[in-house]
Amino acid sequence: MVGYRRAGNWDVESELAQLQREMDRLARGDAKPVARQGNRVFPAIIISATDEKLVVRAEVPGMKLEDFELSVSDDMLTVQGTRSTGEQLEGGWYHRRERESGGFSRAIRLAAEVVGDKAEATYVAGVLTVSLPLKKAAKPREIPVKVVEG
Amino acid sequence: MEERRAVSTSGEIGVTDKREVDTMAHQELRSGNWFVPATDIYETPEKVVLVVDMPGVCYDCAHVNVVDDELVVTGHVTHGEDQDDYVLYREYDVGHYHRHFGLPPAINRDKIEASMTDGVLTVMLPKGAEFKPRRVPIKVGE
Repeated sequence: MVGYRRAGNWDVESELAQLQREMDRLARGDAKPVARQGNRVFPAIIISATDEKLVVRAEVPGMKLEDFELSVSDDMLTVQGTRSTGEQLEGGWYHRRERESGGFSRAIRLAAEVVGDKAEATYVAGVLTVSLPLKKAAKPREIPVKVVEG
Repeated sequence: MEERRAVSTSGEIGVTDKREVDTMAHQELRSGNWFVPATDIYETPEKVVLVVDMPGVCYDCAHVNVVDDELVVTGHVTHGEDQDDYVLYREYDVGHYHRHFGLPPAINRDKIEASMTDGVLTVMLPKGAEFKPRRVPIKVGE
């Protein structure tokens, strides 16, 4: 949390403020610390699961569902598209550009085999959600435990 | 306002980590994760336009307020994660958005309009008539 990477001009105040924020967040107990895993391939994703399906989400605002090229094989989901943020400038000029634009292509290896034909994608409020039903063998199942007398 | 960095218009897109709001400086924000939304700002002779990325925020959960000389944008995230799901892998955090923008005096505060589509908020800030470019008529000299 507190590093020595800028020896010489270590900013005590900002480091302390950062520490204070971390402590506040832990004290509130309602927020997860910012966790980042994996490599830096766009779009960043969250993979979650229920008993029936895997769900892959990505925040890619300003697109349309038909702008995404999605394909699914047994355990691989591929997401491709192009995001352009250079709007109709209407003869204007930029003061600030922070929104990412460009082409992207990402192959995501899934933790279990899914039924590609039954995959569904939605795009609501800039969030792409791909639901991938699990193959039967991959679904969790309960194994009955026999009680042996004796 | 400055050009923060060049954004490539072609080629591979990059991932930018979400910037957290300093909740010490903005104690009005309630609990939860708060992020500074990525924003493009451009100006035309007629107006200034803000384009604000707020993925997961539907149009009725976004708020734009003019407070003194600031425009305050807030978005409450409603889409992005199901509480019942079990997260296996996470590369970003889901949270609300909050950002303040200084309003230059040229903006006509009564004519500000905002719209929201696909997680992108667009705020139109028209300039007051006296700040728009105009032609100065030249009189014939004596």
